[in-house]
Amino acid sequence: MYKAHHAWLFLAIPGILLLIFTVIPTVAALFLSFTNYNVFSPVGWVGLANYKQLIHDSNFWSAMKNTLTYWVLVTPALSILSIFLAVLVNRKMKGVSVYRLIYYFPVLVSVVVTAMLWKWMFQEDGIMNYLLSIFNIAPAKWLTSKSMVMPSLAIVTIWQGLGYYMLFYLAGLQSISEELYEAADLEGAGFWKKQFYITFPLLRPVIFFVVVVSTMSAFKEFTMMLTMTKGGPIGSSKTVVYMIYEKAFEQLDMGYASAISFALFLIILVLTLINQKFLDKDNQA
Amino acid sequence: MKKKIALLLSLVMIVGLFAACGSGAKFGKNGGGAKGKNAKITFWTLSLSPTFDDYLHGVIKDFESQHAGVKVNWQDVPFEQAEQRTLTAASGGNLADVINLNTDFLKKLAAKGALVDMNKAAADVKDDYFEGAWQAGKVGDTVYALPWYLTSGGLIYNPEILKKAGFDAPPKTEEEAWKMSEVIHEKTGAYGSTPNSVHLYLPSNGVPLVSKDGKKAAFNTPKALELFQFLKKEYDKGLIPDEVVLDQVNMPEWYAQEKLAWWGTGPQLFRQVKDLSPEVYNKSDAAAAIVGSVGRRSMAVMNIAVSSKSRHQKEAVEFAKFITNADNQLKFSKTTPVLPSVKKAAEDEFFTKGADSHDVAEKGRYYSAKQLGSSYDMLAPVENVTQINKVINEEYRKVLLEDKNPQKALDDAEAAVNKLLK
Amino acid sequence: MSNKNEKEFSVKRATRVNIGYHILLILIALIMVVPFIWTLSTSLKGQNEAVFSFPPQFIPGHPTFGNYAVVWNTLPIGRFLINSLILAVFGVALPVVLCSMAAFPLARMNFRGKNFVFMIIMGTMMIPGEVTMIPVYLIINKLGLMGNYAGIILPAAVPAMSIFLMRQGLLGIPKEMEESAIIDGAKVWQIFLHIMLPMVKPTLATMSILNFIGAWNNFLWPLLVLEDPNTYPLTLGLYKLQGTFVANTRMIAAGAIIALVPILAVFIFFQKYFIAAAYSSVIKG
Repeated sequence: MYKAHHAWLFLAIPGILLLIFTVIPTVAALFLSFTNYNVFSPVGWVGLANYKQLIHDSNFWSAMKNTLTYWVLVTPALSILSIFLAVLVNRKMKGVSVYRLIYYFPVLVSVVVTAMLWKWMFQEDGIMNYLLSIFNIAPAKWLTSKSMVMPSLAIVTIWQGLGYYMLFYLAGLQSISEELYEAADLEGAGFWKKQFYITFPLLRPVIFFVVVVSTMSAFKEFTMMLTMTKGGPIGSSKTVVYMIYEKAFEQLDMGYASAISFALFLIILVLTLINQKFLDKDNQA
Repeated sequence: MKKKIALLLSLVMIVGLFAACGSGAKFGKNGGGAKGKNAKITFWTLSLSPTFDDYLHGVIKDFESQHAGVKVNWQDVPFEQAEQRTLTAASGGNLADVINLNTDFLKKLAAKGALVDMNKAAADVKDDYFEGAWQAGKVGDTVYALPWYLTSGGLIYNPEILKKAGFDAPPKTEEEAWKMSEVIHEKTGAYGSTPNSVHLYLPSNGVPLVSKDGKKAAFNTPKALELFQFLKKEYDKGLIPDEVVLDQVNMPEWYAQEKLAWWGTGPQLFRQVKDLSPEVYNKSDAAAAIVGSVGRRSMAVMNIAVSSKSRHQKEAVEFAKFITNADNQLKFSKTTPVLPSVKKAAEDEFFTKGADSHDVAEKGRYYSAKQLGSSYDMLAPVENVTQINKVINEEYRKVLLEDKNPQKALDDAEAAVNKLLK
Repeated sequence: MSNKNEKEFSVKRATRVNIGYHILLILIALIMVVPFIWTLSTSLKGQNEAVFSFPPQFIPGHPTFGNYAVVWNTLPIGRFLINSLILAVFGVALPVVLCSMAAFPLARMNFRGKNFVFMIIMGTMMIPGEVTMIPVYLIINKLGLMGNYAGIILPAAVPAMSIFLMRQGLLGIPKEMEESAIIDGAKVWQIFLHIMLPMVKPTLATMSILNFIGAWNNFLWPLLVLEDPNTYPLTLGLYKLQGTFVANTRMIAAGAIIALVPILAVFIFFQKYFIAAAYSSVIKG
């Protein structure tokens, strides 16, 4: 019913802007990954040297391990918990919009404030250890032990991201007809049954979106590590993009930084394709 | 369709190449003609506006009135984004003519050939500056910047905590400091000395990080081993909290919470305590910085460099000299507790006052000004100084937190640093 | 009689559930709102009150609006606000128009190259901004957009993530909708404007909130592109409160609250589109 030229007409203007400001810079970055670009000296072609260096760079692999750990901790929790948060506030009820607003707050507060407060909560004598002591659990070294640092940072991320992803689900929930739930009620379906048979399947396009977007942002996170742990203890919270940032702006090794980015790109791409296989079945409208 | 896509892709590639290649070569297209008359130079500072607007506008006005035809366009850059701003601007040929840089980043830029050699361009004024400050601009034997304002360690301390532990004066030497730290921690729970890194601690105790010729690591010595073992011992006694070792602590916050008995830092930062807790600030007192075993203190220098691609290099160098001269630095020091890098300015009676000031920051300035002659910028004069410091600090942390053998740590750090110096 | 009892019982149960429900919502709200409260309370603290006390003091001992007055008098907040508003209007309007246009064919049409285009768009999201920064800067520079708002607005006019979000939103619309429209003889742009867009109002609202916040908080690009401090947006202008030596936390907090107010207003404005009505009524009708 639609013709091909319709598609290209709609795509033309956004496509041109996207090409100039997003696609070309990406291709340029790809080009740079084969060079020794350092901003000041003329660009020199080095072929695959940066990629070869990458394979043997133990710092890169440990950063990759940290990033994957972080992703595993963060993305599933964010993708699932925020659905429930959205369901919770998707009611016709007085004051519900206030809750929505408040749940969105953590996204809005500056990174500096977030880092400062959480660091303070994670302190040896901080609130988190106080909470543990109520349950007779020994105090934890939240940000200062290698094994705890990523889970602790994940807690902050999840806390901050729940409201953010809630919003997408909330928008998705608006398009699920209430009649479906009413019908399920008549059949005596409980809360969980309704979520499994109605909410989750109908939200699938949004779930796909949230999983992909939260995956990408988990793989690109580094400001939180920069402000809270400086990548420590002993490099155990240094992520790949943290490393890219150091290489590019502290060491002026733009070529190598670009090469790392494309290694990261490959991994995100594979994960996205897997996601697409499972969650984006219905895209051929 | 496939052909079209291939065509499109190759087009994108070509434009991309073009965009990337066009970058490296050209710089400094700022301003009008290249002649002395009607030169317009750009000047970047780090996070000085709006607090010092009046001061800087004044200096610029003076300069412009003394140099007819030269216009100075001042822009202030936030400290945290300085590197990104500098590099993107440089890539597009929009780098400022005169740039305020911290010492670490300065060395990197200098090594890439981005800055003017001040040994030559400013030979006439070289001797005006303190030797320890002039070194900050060094990479190899060449100096790439003029030292501007600087800070030399001071000490802010909490007499109440000291008193509880039975002391009535702050420590003067490292040795004394550690002995006191132990008693203080035992009696009050507060901490004393807080070495969150060793890249300044080692040189101030007589262990330079890099050999004189800048080609090899020089810190793998018995003295360094002794220092590492010593710090490990203090750590095992519980005197250095993990957060401090890992450099996760914002010191003024801890000091303001009375978790620290003293904090060794430049007096310009004392005011941060005032901001966080006026009460703690008011009961605090200042003293001379704790001195390492070789009697050298470290200083932190802010530098003024000139872009080697500047179209108006002569005027830019003139301006760099002008803003760092004795008069202008003295005026600057009077607005905030920083110290001048010019000897003549430091001789002013302004710095000999303040010994009994009620304001801790002013008192701190008095002490740190007194020690200027024996203070040095201790960062190694090599390109990769930032990375080198990171490597050494990381090994130090492994010794403390992971019981890594100190000799092994020094060996590993030495190998890594030698690689960075190649 | 038994019938009446049953009714009373279920009413009681409903109230109990409702109270439990509110307690849950409030508990979550408390966890989410702490940093905001902290910022707000700091901004209201007098010069003689500790910012960082243990335990934290959330209620200022001597509340004052003095910090707001100082911020207002030190910086041209009014001008910064107007600058930010200009940037934000474009930052919301352009993506709404352009991303919906781009997403429409990607979600609803079948044409050759569709998956390729979609993968390119997704691919650009997988590269960290740190390495495309210099190429984007060079393009802005080459186009002569330095010092110009266009240099900030155009690169952000077609965010890949918004295209993705809109595509997911449009995917959820049942096929029957456009089929019946085509039978009625509707043109393609009419289907887009009158059938597609009204059905994804919640998604459009989410996108608008997202891009508003993005444009409002955009810090790096205005810094890299703008030369004249008079053209600075609010976030960049407020950064001046954070000088090298003067850390006035109370004023910084006051600035943060000032910057937050417009975001809250926008959130409240757009969230009224979060109503289930649009979709289900069409289905019923």
